[in-house]
Amino acid sequence: MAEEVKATWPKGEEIVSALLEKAPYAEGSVRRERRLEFKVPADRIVDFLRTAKASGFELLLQITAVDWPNEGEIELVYQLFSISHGTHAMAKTRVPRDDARISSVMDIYPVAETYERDAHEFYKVVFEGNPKLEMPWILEDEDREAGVSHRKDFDMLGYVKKKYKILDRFDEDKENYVI
Amino acid sequence: MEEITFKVAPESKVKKKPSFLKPWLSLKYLFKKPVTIKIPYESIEPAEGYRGFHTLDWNKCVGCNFCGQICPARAIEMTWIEVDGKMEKRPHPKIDYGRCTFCQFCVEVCPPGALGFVESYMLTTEWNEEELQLFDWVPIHPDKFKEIQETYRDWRFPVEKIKFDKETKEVTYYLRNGEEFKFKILGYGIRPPKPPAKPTVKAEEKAQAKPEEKTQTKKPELDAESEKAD
Amino acid sequence: MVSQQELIREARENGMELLPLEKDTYELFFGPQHMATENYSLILKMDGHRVVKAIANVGFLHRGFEKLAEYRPWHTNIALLLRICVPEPDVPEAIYSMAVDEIMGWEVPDRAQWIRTTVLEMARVSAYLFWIMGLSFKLGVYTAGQWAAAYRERLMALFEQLTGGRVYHIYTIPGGVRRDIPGDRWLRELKDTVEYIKAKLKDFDNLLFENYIAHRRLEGIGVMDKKFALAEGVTGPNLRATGVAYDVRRADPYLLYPELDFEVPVLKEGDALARAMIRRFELEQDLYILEQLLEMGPPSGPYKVQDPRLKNLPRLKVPAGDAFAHVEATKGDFGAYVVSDGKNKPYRVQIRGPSISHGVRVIEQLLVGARLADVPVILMSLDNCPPDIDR
Repeated sequence: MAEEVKATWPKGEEIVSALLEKAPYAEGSVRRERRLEFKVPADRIVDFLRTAKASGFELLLQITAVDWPNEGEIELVYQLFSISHGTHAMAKTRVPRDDARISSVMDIYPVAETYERDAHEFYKVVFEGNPKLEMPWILEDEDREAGVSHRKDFDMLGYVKKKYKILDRFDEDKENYVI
Repeated sequence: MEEITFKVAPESKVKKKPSFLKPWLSLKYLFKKPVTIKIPYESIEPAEGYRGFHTLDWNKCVGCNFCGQICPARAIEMTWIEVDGKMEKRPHPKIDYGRCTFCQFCVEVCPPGALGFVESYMLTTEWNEEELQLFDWVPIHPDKFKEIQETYRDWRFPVEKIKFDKETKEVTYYLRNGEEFKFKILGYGIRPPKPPAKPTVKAEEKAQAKPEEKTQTKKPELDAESEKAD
Repeated sequence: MVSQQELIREARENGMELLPLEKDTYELFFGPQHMATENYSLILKMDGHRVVKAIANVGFLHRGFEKLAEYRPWHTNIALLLRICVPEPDVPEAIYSMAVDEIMGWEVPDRAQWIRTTVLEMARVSAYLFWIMGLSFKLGVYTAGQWAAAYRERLMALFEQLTGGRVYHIYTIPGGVRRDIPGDRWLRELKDTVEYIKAKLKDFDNLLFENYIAHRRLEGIGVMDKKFALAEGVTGPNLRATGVAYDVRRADPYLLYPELDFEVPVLKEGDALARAMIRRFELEQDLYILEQLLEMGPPSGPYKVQDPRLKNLPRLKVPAGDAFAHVEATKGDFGAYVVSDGKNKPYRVQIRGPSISHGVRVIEQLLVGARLADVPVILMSLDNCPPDIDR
């Protein structure tokens, strides 16, 4: 017969307070059931993720870069999941847009290497300590040399038009039509 | 503290033992009827509500361009049309099947329910320029489309040939049941085109086009303007 | 007869670099036109028939969905993002919709939840059948693959009746689903199909999963242990095959899963055979879940959120905020992170496909020392889905 497994999940508040005790530089809050959010200064992200891994966040699911040009910052969201606590947590940090640098978290979560390559390719964030950043990833050489990025200030529509030369018909309604 | 329990399957249930003999049991299928169908003697019919080609009730269409905005593939272009020497009051969507993804979000958002779809989905051509006109059309009335679909039931495009005269901008649909259908394309876009030179049409048309033109001097796009309003 | 030197010279002239050949070592470009890799390329350094080094070369399926999504209204993105996962397109639909629901604060009606759960489970069954097809083709048991394709056809016909599309369903939208269930006949047909596939599972066992040759081919290749798998962010059946009972449906329950009864399979070996067995058992469990759902029956009520804003889809505005949603796909933990800045288009959408963790670094490491003939089998046993990586 099937074996019944009991798991006890602490409440979100307990996880947050336990983690913040070890990492007082961060801010933490409970979004909703099983969703936590932490705000970490960029220079302490390595320490924070090390603490988080030690307190049960085994999986790093993704590193998402979000561009906020008005604030001049790029937000990096580390999506963590804890199997033992049954909780997802976002560790958010911000780096300046002009000089987007942050240390790599490869030695804590080796899989971060892949995610960092992705964020580097599309958001031009430099992860110090990642040896594979300059390796070819998704973009073709032609696009990479043209400086294609998913940052908000890159004129993607203009680039696509220049590259494929077929979108003239829709010029007048640029606002409402899409690429 | 939240406690959850879940079942973990025992290993004995998940694992399978290798066997020399069991694969041979599959030989019994040699004596069974195959599940494959024999094309072209048999065919599968598309299910009711299959997302196929579009239909358009020209009388109901108000030319709001909702379909053009929701279209993920940018396949819809608003077109100003003249039928029997009379310009339609509002532009109608012209659908490019080279781009269409058949998601039918345009049908879902259409406020008056003018756009619709039928189950027909087949459109094949040989590689020549004239036939490529078939891929870019203003859909026909649903009743006519359904009538043609019911007659043939081979799920093909209802128009055999579309003739487009580049000089006069006249379009002729040659429907499969022998009917012909003519109209003239006056222009593209949400804004009405410049009134045609004919003086008889001009007077009538000006009355309709004028109020619109006025609003557009302030804000060129119809939807940008209403976006501001809400 | 052209000499080797001439070949190398010609290659150099045409801008192709050939690896300096030693006595037994050579460089092999595996994919992207290889059947086993599905538009994904591996650069293998081979010593005889053993792999010495593997480099994953991705990007052949890059269509820039994440950027394109920033230019389109919220609902339209469904027609776009589902193309990230071809065998089970309902998964990207569902995660994106769940994330948007959370930002909007919509409570999805019970009927829509039931339909979403059913559609997700049908997608899982269909994806597992697709996987059986792939695995058996790579093992050379072509018959089992053809059966799987034929049985999957029944599910595709059901999807066609429900959603109007065979492969790309474009069905789950933020706030519910697009159409109601087309009557009781559809439910009866689904029940018949579930029973039919369940009866056929025994044949799959006989021919494929209990096949002595299949066991010999799968056993002991592509082995990973628990610690490695967790550090590399491997999820789904691949992680469960190493001994971690992690299933998003249990670890972070969504939709109707808390009410449903199913067993989570866990094995310790971590090789290709364990992964195949886990997947086989999950297919059985998914059919069991579908049976439970059918017994439960769809609750009455609306299939979409009753919100006047849904009438004006192109200008539907989502309040500023962000949300993460994930579901258990057959390949692993499939997640979406959606950011809104209060406009009628998303500010940022990121899709986290499971293959991004097991399709790049893990494959590079698992392939070292493997035989060339085992490379497609390892790829298939990990169920690598390249569009997840490229997006």
